[in-house]
Amino acid sequence: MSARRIAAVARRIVEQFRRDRRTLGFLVVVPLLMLVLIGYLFQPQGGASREPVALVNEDQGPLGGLLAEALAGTPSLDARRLSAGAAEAALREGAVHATVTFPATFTTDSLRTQRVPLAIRLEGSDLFVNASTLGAIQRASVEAVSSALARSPLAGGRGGLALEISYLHGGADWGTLDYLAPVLIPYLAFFFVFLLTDVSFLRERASGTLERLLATPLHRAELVLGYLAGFSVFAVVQSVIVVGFALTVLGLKHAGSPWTILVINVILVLGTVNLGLFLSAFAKNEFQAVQFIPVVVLPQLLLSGMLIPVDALPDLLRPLAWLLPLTYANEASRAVMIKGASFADPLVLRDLGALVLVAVVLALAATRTIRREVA
Amino acid sequence: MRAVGAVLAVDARGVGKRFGEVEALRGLDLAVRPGEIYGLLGPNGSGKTTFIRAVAGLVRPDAGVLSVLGTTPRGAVDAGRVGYMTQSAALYPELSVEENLAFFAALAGAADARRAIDDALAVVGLEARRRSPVGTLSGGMRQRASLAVTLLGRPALLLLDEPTVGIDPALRREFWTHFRSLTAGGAAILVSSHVMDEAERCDRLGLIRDGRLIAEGSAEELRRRGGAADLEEAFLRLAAN
Repeated sequence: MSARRIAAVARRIVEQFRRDRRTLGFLVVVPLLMLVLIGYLFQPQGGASREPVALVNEDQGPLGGLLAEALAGTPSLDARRLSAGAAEAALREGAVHATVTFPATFTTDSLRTQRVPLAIRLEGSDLFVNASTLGAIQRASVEAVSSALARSPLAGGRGGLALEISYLHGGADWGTLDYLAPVLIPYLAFFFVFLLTDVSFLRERASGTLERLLATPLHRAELVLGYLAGFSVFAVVQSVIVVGFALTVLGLKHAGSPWTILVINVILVLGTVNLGLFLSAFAKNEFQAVQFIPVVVLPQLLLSGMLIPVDALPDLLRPLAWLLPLTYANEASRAVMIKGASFADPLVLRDLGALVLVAVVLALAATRTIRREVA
Repeated sequence: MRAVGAVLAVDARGVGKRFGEVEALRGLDLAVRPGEIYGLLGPNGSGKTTFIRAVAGLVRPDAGVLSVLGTTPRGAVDAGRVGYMTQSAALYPELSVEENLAFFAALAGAADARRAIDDALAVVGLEARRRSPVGTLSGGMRQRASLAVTLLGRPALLLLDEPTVGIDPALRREFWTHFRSLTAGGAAILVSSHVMDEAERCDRLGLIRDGRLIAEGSAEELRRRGGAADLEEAFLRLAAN
């Protein structure tokens, strides 16, 4: 093992990419653009949105009318009182997202069974609209009950139900991007570095320079370490810029230290370089190398806890999630950025340990594939 | 060039190599002496490139004994005593000629890299383009740069796999002048070629077919043995036997 040869490989990679301005820009500017885009996409809309809902009261007794009035008065709903037919038509036209119906036997049913049978019918064509409409109706129900309580003799005409919400982690002022950034930053780093190493090592092989390198005193492990060292320069630069941009320009909230966030990213990216080197052995050309992107990148998007918490994954998929490096990076990154954990936190330590292990295993695997292809 | 004394540059005895179903080398016996240019000739797929790659330590034979400069192929490569020029001018296009040379010099562990680079550039006549990115060079210049990389560290054995493919006749002649001056210094050259006027310039020739050496000797001897006036005809006759 010669440090001089490893350094020569690393220096060459840095020089090559320094000349390739476009790829450098790709590595740094594109992740920033994506952060901005995603941040803008998930920006809270101006003011609390009121969900358009039709209220249909067919109750023969007095309770339906009372509740409908209370619901219509709540700030969560943009409610209109309609007949059953008009409500159904409004739902079909898209004028309302849901109809809430008090059936003819509402009063009698609720007196008899002590339950309040509200019939909610959703427009249903959009997952997000469904969720926000349901949420608004539930909120409005609490608000309606609360205002009814306030008017009851029990409270003496004052008071009522008030939800006082406080957060152990995060907070009411945390936006969607504040919650997403801890997983977005590692994901972007992973994606771009993987793409770059995968294709650049493939080029080494396809152009014949790998053949030439292996006919010099350079050993395979030195080649892998040289790549690792060379790309880690860009990995560090990229992580510093992306994390710095997210925390200062975008003003994202973070409970933990930016340095801890950086270290997690850099270790993740080192493993990613090895993954790129390893997988490029199985591609014959650039086109095939690009085919690895959906294979490698998509499962990590779905299973690493970015969109669905790992604990909530189906039993069959959960073990798979723990094989993916991004799962550990996300967990650690969330712990640091949202919960304010530090290196001393056992969870962060465990995740970093797992990332280091992944990097070492992949480095060995990459070294082996270089041998296999030559012999 | 370093003195290699009586040690053979390449000593292959019964070398065999199989890639799955294909038997690329079948008991090849061949020796390259110090100070000679040995030409490897044969049709496509005859095993020329596999043999050169085996000598460069890139392919491990699965039969026979192959020693290079008195040691194993990998041992000779690790000692920086073997220069290998691949068929394509495999260099980094973004880097300048000089940077490419500096990189390979660092890998080869050249004692005085600065001087090794200057020497190699002088031999191939690329001093004026030393700062040009390789990607901006013409095909012939790229080939020269590739040869310059091979010459770094003054190897005792040069392996040239079809070094003059796609090169104009003037440059080809120039290359052969370099080769000759290198062997005058004691280096050995193992070169594969398709081109017959190149074959004429080799000290000895080996004709390979189906992974075996079927004829060996100087161009003159082979012509005589094939009973033909020109080398190409002689090869066709020898290969047909």
